[in-house]
Amino acid sequence: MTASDLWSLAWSQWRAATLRSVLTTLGVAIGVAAFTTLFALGRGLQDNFRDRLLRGGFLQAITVLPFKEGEDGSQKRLPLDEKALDRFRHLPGVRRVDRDIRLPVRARVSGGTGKAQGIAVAMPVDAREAAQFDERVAGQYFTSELAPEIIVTSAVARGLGWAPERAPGQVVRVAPGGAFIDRVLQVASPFGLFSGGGSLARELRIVGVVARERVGFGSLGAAFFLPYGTARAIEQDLLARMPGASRLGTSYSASIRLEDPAVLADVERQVAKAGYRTVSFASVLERSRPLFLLVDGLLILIGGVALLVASLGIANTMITSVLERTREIGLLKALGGRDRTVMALFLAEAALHGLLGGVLGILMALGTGQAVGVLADAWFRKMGGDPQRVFSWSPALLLSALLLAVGMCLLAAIYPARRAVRLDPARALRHD
Amino acid sequence: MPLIEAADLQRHHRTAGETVRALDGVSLVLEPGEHVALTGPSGSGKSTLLNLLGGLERPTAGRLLVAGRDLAVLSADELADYRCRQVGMVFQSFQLLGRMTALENVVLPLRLGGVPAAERTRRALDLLGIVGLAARADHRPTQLSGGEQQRVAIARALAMGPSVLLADEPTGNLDSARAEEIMDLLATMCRERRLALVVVTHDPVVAERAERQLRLRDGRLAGGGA
Ligand SMILES: Nc1ncnc2c1ncn2[C@@H]1O[C@H](COP(=O)(O)OP(=O)(O)O)[C@@H](O)[C@H]1O
Ligand SMILES: [Mg+2]
Repeated sequence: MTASDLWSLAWSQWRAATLRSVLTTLGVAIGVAAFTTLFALGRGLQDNFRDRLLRGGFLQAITVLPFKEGEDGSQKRLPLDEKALDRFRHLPGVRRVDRDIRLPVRARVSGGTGKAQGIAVAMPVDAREAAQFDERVAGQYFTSELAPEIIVTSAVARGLGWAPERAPGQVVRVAPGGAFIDRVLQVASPFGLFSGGGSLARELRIVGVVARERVGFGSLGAAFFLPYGTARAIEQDLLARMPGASRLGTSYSASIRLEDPAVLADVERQVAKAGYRTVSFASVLERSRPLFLLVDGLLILIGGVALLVASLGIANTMITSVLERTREIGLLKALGGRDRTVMALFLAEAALHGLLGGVLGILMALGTGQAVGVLADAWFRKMGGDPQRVFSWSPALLLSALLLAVGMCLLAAIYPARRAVRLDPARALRHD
Repeated sequence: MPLIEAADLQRHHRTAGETVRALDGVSLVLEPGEHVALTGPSGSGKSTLLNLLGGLERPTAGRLLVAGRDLAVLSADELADYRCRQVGMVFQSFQLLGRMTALENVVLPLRLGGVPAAERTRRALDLLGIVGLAARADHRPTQLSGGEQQRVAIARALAMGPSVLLADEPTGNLDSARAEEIMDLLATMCRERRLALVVVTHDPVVAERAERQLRLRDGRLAGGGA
């Protein structure tokens, strides 16, 4: 008997017991849908997480700390000067290496009452991949490394007296300032005429407003962002006014930014070999991989239970089918059907359930994904965030789901099919 | 050479520690084109003998040669092929598949025999014509009378061109007029196609039509054997 004969007989049997077939197929479909959806959800959450880390520059960046750790756990300071940074710049895959500049600053509106205070972080002009600049509320990124420009968080914009959308284009006076700097500068100014760093103030134009005071590699807790060159100029001014204060601690670490997240482990190893302590989100992430696997495993387990229930349904349907069709099986054998043919017929029926159920289940999963996606989008928007991916579908996942459905149905049908094969045709066809 | 040669055929069933001798030493010879009636009381082993000849059961002991081949030494697959190509079976309750049309029922053994699609439809339609049901090819068994259903079953039995036709009370569910038509058809096929025809029956009229009558009693031939 040819494959097309098998299919046409399986299909004619599927149609002969329509209600039961539909219910069984539906059971498979729901199992497949649950499994696929949960799997895609697990994948989606991880991909989403990874995407944000990528966009935030987390996976392309390494922070270098000027420490060497001894075998005994002791720490030794190492210079993190231009010479050291140059060494890192020559490692393959490195895009740029910058000393991290974090300055406490105060901002004021000239002739106005608005003010704000917080940490300013220096951003390389080509680091716009950092997450908060993607989630810009208004305006744009810096035009050049030395531009008299500043980006503020929406909280800062409000503090200065503007709605976030209206802040771009406004000019603010920005000066280094914070409790410590103020004290040092007061001592340093001979007549105490200047209050704090106010005399170091620069007029900077707000070019952009970002949503939140957070994330982006090396800019945790930042309220202001400055072009790297501008930040360095402010820092120079400050150091000039603070003789002997070059160890003020404005720069404590350096950031290595990479061309490609793939080289991270290599570069990190090289830097560590040079004796420096490194911190990278990627390595932290790598260490938490077991957790992700656990989450994956749990989701697959739940989906697997749904599949298992469906396979019991298949087994039940197939056994019923064998019992009901004793005469038919006997007849098939009497007409010359080999054992293998009888087996193949029942397996083909089961595979048909798996195929139909699998395709239907995949469609159901995709439909659910669409619906949940639309709802989630609306929700994220309402919460003031940007749309996010909840599910990750891949052709490989869908194909695997289909194969799994068919495989599971075949497995569930082995026992019933064996029973059909073992059936004694003479007894099955007995008249009484 | 005889088509079928059976010597001291035994078929025992062991149930609950007791052995039932369904057939207890049957010997017979059948020639091609020979029409034989098999009679005997209920439980005397008629169906068992038919099943042995048809390769549906294997003898417990004895020898059974069909066209010179010993059925006892055939593998399961070879026995299935023997049923497919050498034997046509007709049953009292027709045994048509209700979800298939008359045509599809006749096509079924051709599918099992690996006959190509176009060829088998042509052959099945031919056979339905021969049994007088050309116009009913697309009807399902439930839309046919008992006599018509048995004609479809005969067409199905002939599909693979067997050399033996085995009918187990083929007229048992039919009225006497219908029974006569069916017996006419079977007898014609036997004659025209040189088929060995064995008809199990309780009906003396049906038995009378055979060239030879075999009587079974308690698993043994009481008359007409070899
Ligand atoms: N599979 C079986 N198991 C046990 N006994 C059987 C089986 N098949 C047939 N028999 C017994 O064998 C005897 C002959 O049966 P059968 O050939 O069907 O008789 P008939 O067709 O003449 O009525 C009966 O006694 C029957 O009960
Ligand atoms: Mg009987």
